Amino acid sequence: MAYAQPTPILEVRDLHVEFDTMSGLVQGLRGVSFSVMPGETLALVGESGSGKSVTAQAVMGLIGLPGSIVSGDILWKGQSLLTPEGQKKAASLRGKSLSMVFQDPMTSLNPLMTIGAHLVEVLRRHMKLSKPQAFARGAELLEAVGITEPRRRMAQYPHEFSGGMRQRVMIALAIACEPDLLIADEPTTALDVTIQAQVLDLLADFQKSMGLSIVLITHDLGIVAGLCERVAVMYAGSIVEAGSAATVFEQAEHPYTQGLIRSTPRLDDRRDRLVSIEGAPPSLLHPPKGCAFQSRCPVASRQCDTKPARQVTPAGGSVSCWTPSLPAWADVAKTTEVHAR
Amino acid sequence: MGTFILRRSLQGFLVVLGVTIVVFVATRMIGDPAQVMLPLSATDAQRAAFEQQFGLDRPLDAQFISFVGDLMRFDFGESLWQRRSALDVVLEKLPKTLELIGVGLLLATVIGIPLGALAAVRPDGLFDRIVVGLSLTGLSVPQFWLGLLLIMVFAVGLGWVPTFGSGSLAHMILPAITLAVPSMARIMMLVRSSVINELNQQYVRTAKARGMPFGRVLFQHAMRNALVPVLTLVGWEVISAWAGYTVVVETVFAWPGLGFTAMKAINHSDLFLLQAIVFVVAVGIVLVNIGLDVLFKLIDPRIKEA
Repeated sequence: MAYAQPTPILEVRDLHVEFDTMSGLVQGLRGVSFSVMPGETLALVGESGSGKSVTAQAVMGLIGLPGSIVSGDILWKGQSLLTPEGQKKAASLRGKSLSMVFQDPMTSLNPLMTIGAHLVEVLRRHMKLSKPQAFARGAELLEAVGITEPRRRMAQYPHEFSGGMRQRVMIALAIACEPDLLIADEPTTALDVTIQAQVLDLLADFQKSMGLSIVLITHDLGIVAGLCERVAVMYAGSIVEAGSAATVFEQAEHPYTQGLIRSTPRLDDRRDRLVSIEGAPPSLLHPPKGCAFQSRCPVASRQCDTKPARQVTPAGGSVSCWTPSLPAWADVAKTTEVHAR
Repeated sequence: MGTFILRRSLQGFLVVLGVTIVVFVATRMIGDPAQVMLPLSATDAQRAAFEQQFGLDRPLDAQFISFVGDLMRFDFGESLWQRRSALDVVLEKLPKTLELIGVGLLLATVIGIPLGALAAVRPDGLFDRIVVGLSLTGLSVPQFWLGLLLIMVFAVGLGWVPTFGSGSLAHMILPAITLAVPSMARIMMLVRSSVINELNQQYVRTAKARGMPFGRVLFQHAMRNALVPVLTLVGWEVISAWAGYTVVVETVFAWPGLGFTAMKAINHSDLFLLQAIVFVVAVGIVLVNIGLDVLFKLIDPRIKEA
């Protein structure tokens, strides 16, 4: 990796976000760094509360009180979005070059506005189209996301659409202004499994045809394997492992990543019990000083009381662990199996 | 929509019929019109003559049939106090009350809705605290006392406006403000909490993520949804002004409307005039409710015909 890299579309550097709550300062993000290249799909993986969505909101500029970005930087094509001029720039990017699809399509559309009004609104604002132009373009977009009779559907309200259809509308809204980067925050979590596949195919299609970069936030490793080139695994507000999807899946370095892969149910596995990672993530109100995974890690040692630095792996990824690539769960898996039988 | 209005109108007709029965039972069966309307000094002969004149000596079922029959023809009998048709009196006073309610509630909504919405932008901020403080004050002030206070300060003290009566715009100012203040306070509070609630909804966040400026998110997205419950309250304010508050306000300012006339009808033991007023008020409430249902359907596409 010595040759010159093109500028990333998005680069997040050592981002810290805190929430000032009644019970104290919650450290939502504790030094998150990653970058997204043009046309690339990056998966942000992790369990609930690991900071995936906070990262997305920070990038979208949607962190509002009681939360705030304490330190770190977010760069768009090399320019910071957090300086005063950068914030103006960010406001003009939002919804146009940088767009987002949210988790819950049922509540993401204004119930009193027609589908058409949503599309016309965003097209008129960012593409400076006239009303009839925006309407025509909106209908084209609906057709592009696989909604039949788009002109009739434009006049309908969100409650007349199913969940999958609404997520298609959200995708149409997100790609309406030909963005460079789309952040999809668990776009299929609220949908049926069959619809999930359709929505993901749709995202993959647009990525290919528009050269779009995607940040896909998910806790479903199955989705990641099919769609993403690179993976970043988040735990307790920071990224513990990152790398190409192939290497992360085949030779996970961090014990947490290994545990995640191990706890994904597989069809070819005869074990009749679901495997989990024992314990719960630490409270981000008082995060541990050392490695955050320490309390759940089967191979933790005294060393883990100090925070491990990020190191480059032989495969070109990065990992934050004192004992990377050690197969952490081998023995534990055996004992679990014995118990299960 | 046509059948919807028709069905609501039929339901409204049933309500009015119910009110008629209640009025009949209250006046003819529980109360005794002769006792109410004649002076205490009336002799038995005068009493009997009165009962015969108004058919009160007939059996109750016959009385009820002619009572309903008269109502169908909008014949409420003669006002004993005014010595003319009770309906004429009501129709003469009606516009004055509608005028007062119209101006008062226009004032309440035009001031209450924007202030409530702006307060919701930063809950617990300085502006919000001021608005909440004003609302609580407005809610706590008794209406009759507020009316008297305004008369003392602006009519008697400063002499800016007349103390009572009607006829010019200046006459209208104090009664309208008195009627508006508690309604405005309630509307402000509801708009505030309703907008705060909407601004926390997911669709507001997605609108922001699509790059919509805050003004548009507030007024185009959040307000539209926030106004659905507010419309219910405004309807309630119209009805309670129509069937209650105007009686107080009109009496304080001697505003020659329906409420003031109702007070006088009570003072004059004018049962027939009072009946006419109650009937017109009931019809008015039914009409306002039908109007609200139609408005809801126009605003919120999720409301099905039911």
